[in-house]
Amino acid sequence: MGRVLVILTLVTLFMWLALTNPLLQNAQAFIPSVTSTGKQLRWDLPIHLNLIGNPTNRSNLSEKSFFNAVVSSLRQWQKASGQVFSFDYWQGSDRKLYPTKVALDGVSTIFFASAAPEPIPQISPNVLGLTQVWYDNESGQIQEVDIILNDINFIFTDDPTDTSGYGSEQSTASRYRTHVFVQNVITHELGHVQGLSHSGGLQSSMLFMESPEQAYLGCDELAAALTIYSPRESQEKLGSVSGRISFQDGSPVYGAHVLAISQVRGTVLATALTDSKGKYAVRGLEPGNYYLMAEPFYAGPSALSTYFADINVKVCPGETPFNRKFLTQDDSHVLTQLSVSPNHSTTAPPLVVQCRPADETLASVPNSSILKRGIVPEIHLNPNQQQNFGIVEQLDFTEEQVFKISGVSGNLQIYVLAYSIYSPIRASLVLYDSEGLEVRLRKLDPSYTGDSGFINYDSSIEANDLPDGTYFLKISSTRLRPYQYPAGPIALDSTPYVVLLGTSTHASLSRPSLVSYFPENARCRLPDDSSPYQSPTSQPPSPSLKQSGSGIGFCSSSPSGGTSHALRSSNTYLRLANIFSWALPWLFIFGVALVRLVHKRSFALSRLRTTMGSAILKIWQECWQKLQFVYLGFLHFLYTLRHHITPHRQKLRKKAFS
Amino acid sequence: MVRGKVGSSYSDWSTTADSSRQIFTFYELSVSEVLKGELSHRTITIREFGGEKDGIGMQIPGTSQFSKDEDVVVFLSKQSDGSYQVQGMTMGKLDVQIDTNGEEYLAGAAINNSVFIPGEFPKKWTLQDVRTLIKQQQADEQAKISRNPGHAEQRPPQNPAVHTPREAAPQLQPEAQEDLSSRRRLLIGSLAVAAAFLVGFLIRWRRK
Repeated sequence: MGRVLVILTLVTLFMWLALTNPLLQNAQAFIPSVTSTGKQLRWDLPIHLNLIGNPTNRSNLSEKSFFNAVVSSLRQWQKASGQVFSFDYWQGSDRKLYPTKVALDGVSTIFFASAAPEPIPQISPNVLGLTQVWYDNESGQIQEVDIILNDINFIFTDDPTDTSGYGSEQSTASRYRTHVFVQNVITHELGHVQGLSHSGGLQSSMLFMESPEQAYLGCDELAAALTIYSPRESQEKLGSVSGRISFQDGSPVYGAHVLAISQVRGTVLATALTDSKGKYAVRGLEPGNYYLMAEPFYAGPSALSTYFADINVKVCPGETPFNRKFLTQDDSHVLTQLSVSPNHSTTAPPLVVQCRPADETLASVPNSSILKRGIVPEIHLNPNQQQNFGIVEQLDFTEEQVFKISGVSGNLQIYVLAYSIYSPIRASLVLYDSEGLEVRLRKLDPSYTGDSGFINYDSSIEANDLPDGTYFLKISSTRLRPYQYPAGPIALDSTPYVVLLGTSTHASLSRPSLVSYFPENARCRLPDDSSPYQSPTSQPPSPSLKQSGSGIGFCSSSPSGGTSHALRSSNTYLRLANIFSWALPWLFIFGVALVRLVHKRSFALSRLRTTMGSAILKIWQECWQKLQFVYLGFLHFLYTLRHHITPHRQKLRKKAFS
Repeated sequence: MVRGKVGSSYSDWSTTADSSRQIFTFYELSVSEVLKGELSHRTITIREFGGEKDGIGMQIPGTSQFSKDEDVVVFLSKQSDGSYQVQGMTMGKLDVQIDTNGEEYLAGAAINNSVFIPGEFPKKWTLQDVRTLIKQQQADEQAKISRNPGHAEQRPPQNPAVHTPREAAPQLQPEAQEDLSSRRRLLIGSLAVAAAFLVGFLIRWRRK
């Protein structure tokens, strides 16, 4: 009995250690803003944002345009969250009612820098806009936000084609543009309001540089909003993919950017970042098949919260980043297919990245032997069943590549991805039958064109009722320029490669299952909601406390500028919760000892009240005899030591590669 | 514009010109080279918006992040409290890297997009390239002034952040300023508990 109890104690303790290990909880989906200890920044539910806007600006942007842009952006985030996020928005020019000050004063605001009574030191000439997020650093609960738009150095417009960045046909290398579509910036900054950090996804509104089409939420933001805030019934329809990324020596890759490519949509649906153990979890995925790609987070730790300061993408010799890598079967060109089902996490096989010679920039897939030998690669399909395939192949800038597809029958759908995964080419597809005749089919090329001039140069083909047989797929590539990519050349590869995703079936081709959450276009752009919005008739909230040398806002202040009453209350609960979780194993030990004593009839529970002192003494002796305290103390020590040394381990690893 | 090595850091409240209290993170920078401008001290304090203090955190996504012992080049503007603020958020900080030839070059968000030729990929900016560029710019400016002595080039206005705050930023102490994290307190507590029990056990064992 004693031995069983001791074993049970140890098992419980290890389970407790595992469950309360905060590092395990840091396998991040999307890229959140986090506290210094890795807690995700988020609003407490239910979320209702009271936002006060002041439209005074130097850009000659009308009050109506500003109002429409803010409301449109807020509505997108509201829809993305499944209506969990709600808001009230007031707008006006009177600074007393609609303040233009960045402060912890109980009100969330959005305004232009020129309207501030004093110059705002946070604004630099190259900064389009910024969001100041205040939060409780124990829980990560967001308390207040202020958004400032820099109309001192930029001109905000209501023209969707205006952009200061790259990523449209109008982008050029030499022209520095100061006109920016205001909604691009507002939608992005509201993403920070939601608790999101910068992203590396090309089509993401949270991309770390302003670019066309950012006014409209991308697939990654929809997945993020659904994951963070949507109702449980929505989340139960979604799945996730998790796994680990390491170097060849088995050490974890911290800060690898993981992209999940949807088979049925032919687009990157969601992304994630690996934690310090190399673990990731891409959440908010609709059921279906996915393929994974991992790359360095090229924007670097500066684009993220301080918690990620130890991310180092350049861990290879010569201070170069590791190479992009696809999750493939046995390091071949065949992509590993991962099936995601609702309310379930699919575990992906480990992905091992590698380094490349220092004189190559951002090289990705292994050198293709196909190009050198002039072989026509073949994709074998079984004509009697639905089959999906995914392959990655390196191409040449100028030559065409032909793939032979055997076993085709019925309907065939093929996506080719290059642009959206930062390959420097535009790839187009043509399908021929075995006699060399071009097959009539439906083509979507490019896969998406936005109002802003942004073009997703990926493409797809769909052919129905094909006679059984062998077909030939020709891929033509055209070189694209760096300025045609959002964020320019920062993540652009030097090696052209493509990902081919195909489905062959006798039945109808499957469609995305959650079109209501992820609209069926390559960017997941939501339909516009142009219905009129009415601000509340009540006055907007006012700052709760005037700024003084010692006070800091909210309901109370202290001479040292300490926490508000609201924050102190939440801190107390959290502290109690932390103490309880830390003490839980000790309580368990005492409980076990009590059970043993009762079992041995050392005393009767009915006498517990009158003999409390002796009961406690007996329990103590029991634990002492069985050395349980020793086990517990030692394990607690190990647990704390582990968390203390883990951040230092990252630095040691950095040094090991230098 | 200076190059230096990042030392210790801490977060604290401070007041800006518009009388608002903000949380800053102050970093110690040991300056190894002044690339542009003037500096009277070899150790300076860099002030960046954001940090955690008194149970409250503040973040501005996109501000520069620094790690201890990083070798960096930063664009700074002096604040009236004696500290320096990074200009351009994440664009104002560049990492100094060393390639396989032993040459020092700069990397960061600003460098990757600053120069490229259509159809080609950005060149690597070495530190020597930067020194040469600065010298060239200064020479061009001097040449302009000497050609038009009555129309000296207008310098851009000083960063409007230079104001007299209500309270000066706390100065860095020589020793590390890091507060004891909750994890460190837990470590010490657990060590004490484990040590106490181990001692007690040994005493009891010896008595047996």
